[in-house]
Amino acid sequence: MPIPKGPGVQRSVSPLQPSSHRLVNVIIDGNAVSVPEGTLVVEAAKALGTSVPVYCYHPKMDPVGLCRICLVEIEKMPKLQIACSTRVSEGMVVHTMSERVAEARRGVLEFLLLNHPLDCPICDKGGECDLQDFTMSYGPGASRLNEPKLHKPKAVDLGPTIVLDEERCILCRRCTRFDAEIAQERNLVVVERGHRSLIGTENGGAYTSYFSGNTTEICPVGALTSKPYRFRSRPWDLGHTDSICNQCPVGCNFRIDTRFGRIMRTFTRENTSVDDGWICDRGRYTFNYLYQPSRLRQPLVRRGGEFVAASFDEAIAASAGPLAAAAQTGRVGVIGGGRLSDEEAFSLQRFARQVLHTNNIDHRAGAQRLASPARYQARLEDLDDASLILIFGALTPEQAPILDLRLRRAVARRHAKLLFVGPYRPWFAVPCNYIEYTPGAIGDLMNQLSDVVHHGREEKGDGFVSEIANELVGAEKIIAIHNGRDADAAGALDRLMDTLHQYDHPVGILVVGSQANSRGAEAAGCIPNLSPAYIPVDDPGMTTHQMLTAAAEGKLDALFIAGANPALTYPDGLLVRRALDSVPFLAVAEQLMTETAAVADVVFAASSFAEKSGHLTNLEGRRQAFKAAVEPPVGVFSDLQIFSALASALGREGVIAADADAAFAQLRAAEDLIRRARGGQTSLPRPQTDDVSDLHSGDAVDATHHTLAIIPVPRLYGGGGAAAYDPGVAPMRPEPFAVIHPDDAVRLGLDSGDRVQLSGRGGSIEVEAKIADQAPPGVALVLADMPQAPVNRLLDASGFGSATAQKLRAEERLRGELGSSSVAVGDGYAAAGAGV
Amino acid sequence: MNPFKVMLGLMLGMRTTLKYLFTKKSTIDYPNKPFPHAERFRGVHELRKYEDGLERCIGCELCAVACPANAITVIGAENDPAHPTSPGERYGYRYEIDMLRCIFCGWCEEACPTDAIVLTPRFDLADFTRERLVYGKDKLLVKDPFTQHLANTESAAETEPGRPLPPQAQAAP
Ligand code: SF4
Ligand code: SF4
Ligand code: SF4
Ligand code: SF4
Ligand code: FES
Repeated sequence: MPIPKGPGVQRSVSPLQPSSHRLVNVIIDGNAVSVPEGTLVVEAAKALGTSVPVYCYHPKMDPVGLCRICLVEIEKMPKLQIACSTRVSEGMVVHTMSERVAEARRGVLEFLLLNHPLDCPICDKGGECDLQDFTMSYGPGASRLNEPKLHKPKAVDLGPTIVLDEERCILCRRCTRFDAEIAQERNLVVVERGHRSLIGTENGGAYTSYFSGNTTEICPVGALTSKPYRFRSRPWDLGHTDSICNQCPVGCNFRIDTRFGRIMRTFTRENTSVDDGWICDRGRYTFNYLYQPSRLRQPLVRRGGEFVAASFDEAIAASAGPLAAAAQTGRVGVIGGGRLSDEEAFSLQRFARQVLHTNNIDHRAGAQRLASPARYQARLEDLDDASLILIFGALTPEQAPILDLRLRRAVARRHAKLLFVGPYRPWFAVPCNYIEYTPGAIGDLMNQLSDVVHHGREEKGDGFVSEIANELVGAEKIIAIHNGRDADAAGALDRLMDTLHQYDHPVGILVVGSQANSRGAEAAGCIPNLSPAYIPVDDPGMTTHQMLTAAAEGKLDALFIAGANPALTYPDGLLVRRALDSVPFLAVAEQLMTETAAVADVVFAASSFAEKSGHLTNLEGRRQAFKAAVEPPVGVFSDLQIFSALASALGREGVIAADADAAFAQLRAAEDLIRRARGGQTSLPRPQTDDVSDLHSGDAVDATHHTLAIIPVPRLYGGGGAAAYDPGVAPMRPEPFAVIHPDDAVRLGLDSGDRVQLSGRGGSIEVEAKIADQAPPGVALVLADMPQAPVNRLLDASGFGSATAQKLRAEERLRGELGSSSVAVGDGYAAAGAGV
Repeated sequence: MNPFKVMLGLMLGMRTTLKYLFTKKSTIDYPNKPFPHAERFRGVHELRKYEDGLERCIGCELCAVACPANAITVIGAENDPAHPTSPGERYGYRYEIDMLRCIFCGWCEEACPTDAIVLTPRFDLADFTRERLVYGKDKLLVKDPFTQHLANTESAAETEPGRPLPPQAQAAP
């Protein structure tokens, strides 16, 4: 919050971490300000527009007082004080620009520069470096050091995304504190002592945090720099565009920095309510796929079984006929929206409903069925003061990393309780209570809990049910997080929340989806039974599952898929394959040649999030605008332009706006109309879901020796989206694996690292076995959505499945691998051994 | 009007004419004979190398940001440690000066931390297309570090303690 400066004006500011709400009066450089008691001097000065130089202090972290650059003079205190750790008190008089302060700063800077290399011209921080800036403003003009400088390792490979220059490090420990306080991972540490101090990792290995990129931003000097941005540009070359990350449903705000019409890097753009100033590495580094040869740069039309490059008009013409014919008979379906912007999702459902005259429109291309809670929508900020966080199903560190940072802080700092209910032991950075529960039974659990809470202590359920109920009753504020896959469980959760709400507990629900804009697509009406803003339609159309089933049975003549890859993400892989193979006409709008696009009849090359403007709705229902940062390649059109041109070709010119502003105006108009019509109704109607309980096979595992239940698990860098094609993310991408319980491993004769073949209803996949008791006995946790090993071959529509596991013998493995890759494995082991 | 005064003026004028008739001509046979310029004349740039053949430019873009005419484009890149282009971690992967924009102020030379870009007394820039007047590394980079123009090569080398002289330089008298 920028507050203009003016002498002698009384102002109040919101405190950082106020110890009370009492205001005290302070005078800083002759200007009076009242701030809450306990505010740090540096923050009080900031409120007046006076900046005190800082290195180790960071507003998001506890002050440590390491670097002493922030020394200020406080009257009645004999020595200079550090502004970053001194709290204000009534009547304090501070001088930040006196001669004593200037002298002290010169001294501190001279020490910092003593062994600092003269790297500025080649340093990636040069131009936005606090050491440069403060030296220019406050530093000594020349060095008095005549001896040779101390040398330390340069260009150290700290992790897959970070290069470390130990010589440039000023040991402010912002990076290590970030890793300990914010990420709660405690892997980045200072090793050695005194002038020999170095930044390193605790385990001696690579620094592989999901949040590592943030350290390159908070490092006040050029010690930590990012590999993808290394030597690409200088800060003064860059153009800045405000944007929103579209890699997960949290919707972190970031800035896209461009040069020569190309994206060079992304940078945090703090929004305290959403991202709190951080972004994860998947969001930060997933943009280089735009420049890969695998990017679609022109429409493709299938002629005689082969794709041939076509002009945009040819592709439109090739699609118009089959779509119009199918629309006539009503045998047409549209899938997509969860990866599009709000206005595109709105236009897509408009295209389906008003141009193709069908309600067969669904954004759900995976196992997720709901993107919003019916009531009690929580805000991300609600996690900050929650006392109990109840998660079922959602693996927040992998699916919504920046949300997980809030959760980590709530648990580590405020001692909130974390309770995970699910079919396997999750990985969390903070302590978590785990309750094993099969996915299909979570609804029952919620209902039981609801009863116990409602009827008080006398009617207790199972031991642990009453235990959880006690936790719930004892908690001040309860936030539940789920992944929207189980509609029944979500309904039961709503009832549980109702009950708790009756007893005056503040409650809230967050749904962590798998696509960045599922929430926006749901609200924009990409649902067969709901039009924009959750208005039920009279004759609901088919869900994704029904459309795929109809297509597989030959009851659908045309399918249009925009920004979705069901071939990889839809749980029932067998059904998708049959559907996509048997539908007579399939048109796909995509950025990359995905598994779905590969079997299409017409493929439109669509522009990426950085090449268009629009809005995204995050998981808390917050709609945020993003702007085009670069131009799309020639031949690439935005999804809106594609829908609009298709509508015109189908004789409905002007129904779909080709420009984002006009489409947004249409969306807003629809919403306003509905908001007025709905009045005070608070509970949202629910999207139509398929009854998959009869399909559910998670608990019906055949007990024969080689059969395992399959549960797909997400990983941040896994999946088949843009990240799969991005060279910046490639070093972090996991290989397909299956986590198997040690007992099963013995039974199947498996060791960690063995290749294992899993065969199920839709085929087989080959993965690496990892032996760990995270997986319950009889279950294999398989990395989800990997193009090399699509787990959906083993699953049914419920999102679970079973498979027979078979260890692959060495000769079978060698056949599949290149000789060189086994050499690389050997080298890796040697390197790991040397590191220990 | 006094005729003698008129004659006197004419004679004085003719005296100057006669004097120049017998002095050395200043006209030169330009394209055939070189036109000498002061050593510090600011003409076409060159991008220099160290004696061991490594490029001086480190791709820092300080010249580009100093340039008041926005004539310079630099793209840096990381050196391959096995075959470095310049000493250190970074080198100028691409270096271009738009000679049509350049005002020959010499600020780039002033800004360069490694004395890589220098202005030479060469001034004949005429060409037939605009494109050919955007000079890249092909035109700017000196071929041979020992014939590069500037006289203070030695003093610049002295500022780099520990850089061994290449064998040719040691053998030279
Ligand atoms: S860290 Fe800052 S002062 Fe140090 S070399 Fe880099 S730009 Fe220069
Ligand atoms: S690497 Fe950067 S952030 Fe970390 S201690 Fe050194 S200077 Fe500070
Ligand atoms: S001489 Fe001046 S105008 Fe020309 S390139 Fe150098 S800085 Fe730019
Ligand atoms: S010529 Fe000099 S100033 Fe310009 S990029 Fe190269 S090293 Fe930097
Ligand atoms: S900022 Fe105050 S001691 Fe470092």
